[in-house]
Amino acid sequence: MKSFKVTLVILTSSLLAGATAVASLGGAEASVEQDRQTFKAPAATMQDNGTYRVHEITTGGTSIKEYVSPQGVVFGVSWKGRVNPDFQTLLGTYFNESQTAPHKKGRGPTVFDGPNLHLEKGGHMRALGGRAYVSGLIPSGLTESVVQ
Amino acid sequence: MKLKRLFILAFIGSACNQQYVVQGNALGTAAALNTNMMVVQVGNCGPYTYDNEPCVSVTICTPGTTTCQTIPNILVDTGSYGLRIFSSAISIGLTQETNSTGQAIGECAFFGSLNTWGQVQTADVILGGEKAPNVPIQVINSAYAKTPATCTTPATGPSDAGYNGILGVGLFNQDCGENCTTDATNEMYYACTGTTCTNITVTLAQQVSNPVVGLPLDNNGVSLQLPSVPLTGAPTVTGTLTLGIGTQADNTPTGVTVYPADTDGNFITVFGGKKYPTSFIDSGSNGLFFPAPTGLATCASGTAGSGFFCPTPSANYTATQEGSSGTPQNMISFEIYNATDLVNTGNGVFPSFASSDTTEFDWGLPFFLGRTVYVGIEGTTSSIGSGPYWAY
Repeated sequence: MKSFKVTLVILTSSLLAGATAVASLGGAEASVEQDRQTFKAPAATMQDNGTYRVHEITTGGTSIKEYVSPQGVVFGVSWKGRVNPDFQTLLGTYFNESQTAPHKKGRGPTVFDGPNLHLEKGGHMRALGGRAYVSGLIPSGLTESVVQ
Repeated sequence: MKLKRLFILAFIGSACNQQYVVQGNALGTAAALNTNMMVVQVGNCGPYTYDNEPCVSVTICTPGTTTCQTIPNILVDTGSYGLRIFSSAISIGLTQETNSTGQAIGECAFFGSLNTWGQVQTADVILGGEKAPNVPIQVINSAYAKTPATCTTPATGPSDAGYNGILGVGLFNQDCGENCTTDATNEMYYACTGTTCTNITVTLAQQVSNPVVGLPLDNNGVSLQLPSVPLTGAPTVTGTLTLGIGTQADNTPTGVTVYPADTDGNFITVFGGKKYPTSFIDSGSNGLFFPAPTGLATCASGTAGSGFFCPTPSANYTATQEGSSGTPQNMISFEIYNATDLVNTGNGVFPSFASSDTTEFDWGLPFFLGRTVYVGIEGTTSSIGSGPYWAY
């Protein structure tokens, strides 16, 4: 009986992990809540700017913002803080594209422009930051500069 | 006499190239330099290296013993805090750190580039001729226990990273600080049993710490002095990493200006009419990284300088560094060369190597060439000020 319960718990958590793999950048607004659970963060805060919405999740010393279009699609994400976010969760289906960034010779901030994904990573220990967006998902009338 | 001394310096400088490790008591081997100095080589640091990499040799010992190992090609990084060495480069025993229930402590350290994952162990760390006893260091090993999902794509080894380890001698005492003493979701420190690792809080004393802070003397900061290099580069140069600021005759600054940093380790840079308040000075970044001005081209992908700037053939700019609250201010002029042309020279050190960043100005290794830059550690004072600060 006891071992049965343990199996169930493992099954449930692996289902959750599977669900978050398609969340976040490019995902539906509801994916923000999945991210919050994955990041074990307290409640997200939401700011409605009229033309787009910004959800903010604070976790482990890092604040993550997810930018949502009027159609309810996450078109950009940014982060700032002591740790980098779990990119596999935050970049969602665009994570694989981020992995195609050429291995730049050396060490320092990176700016990557893929076919769909734009990714910037920078900062230094204790003060990291960056942002990512998908140009094709940015609502008309807005520019990438809103993702910051 | 002068020639002889130069020869000795050059010989020590080549330590970065050695692929073998020296075992034995290293305290006795640093006689050619003052005990608070280490030779820094830039470029051609070993079989795995990259342009503008500053490296030193660091000696670690099994705590409390004379069983020691000198490890070459350790990146000198003023942008991080703590010593990290790949497990594959370590052949002596170190002491595993454990929590109150005896579980091994592991860590993910986050960088702008590659993250590092591995165990936290203590070692006696010898810098130049000075020993910091029982320093928590990170033994980098991406195969240790199970890498947490949040520790995305950690460095796998020296061939991947370009160095055997990182000597973080920046502005802070520990890699995390107060946050990891209270926040159990810090995503940096873990208690591991088998392949299960659980995020935990750790005390400041348990955290991977800047080894300079553990020295008996000369523990309030460092200075990195590197020679000037022609704009088109040099094969390799050597300089000095000096321990302590104003603690000895050989490390007392004169005529320098102090630029205070904020609690995140940043100061201000004004560039192209815009203010970037999360800027920093970082010997571990191998170029100048700044928001691309209009008209400054990036090298085509597939070319030798891919990812860096490729003006034809060069471009001149100025930027103003400011203390974190706006003063003092100093305007810096710099010239950027075509990175593909630079890399094709076969040189290993370039003052004119740069790439794009967007929300900050990262004054990397080129800024150090032709300067002595002082790095004052938080909570310390020196003859020139109270840390955290940079001065030059």
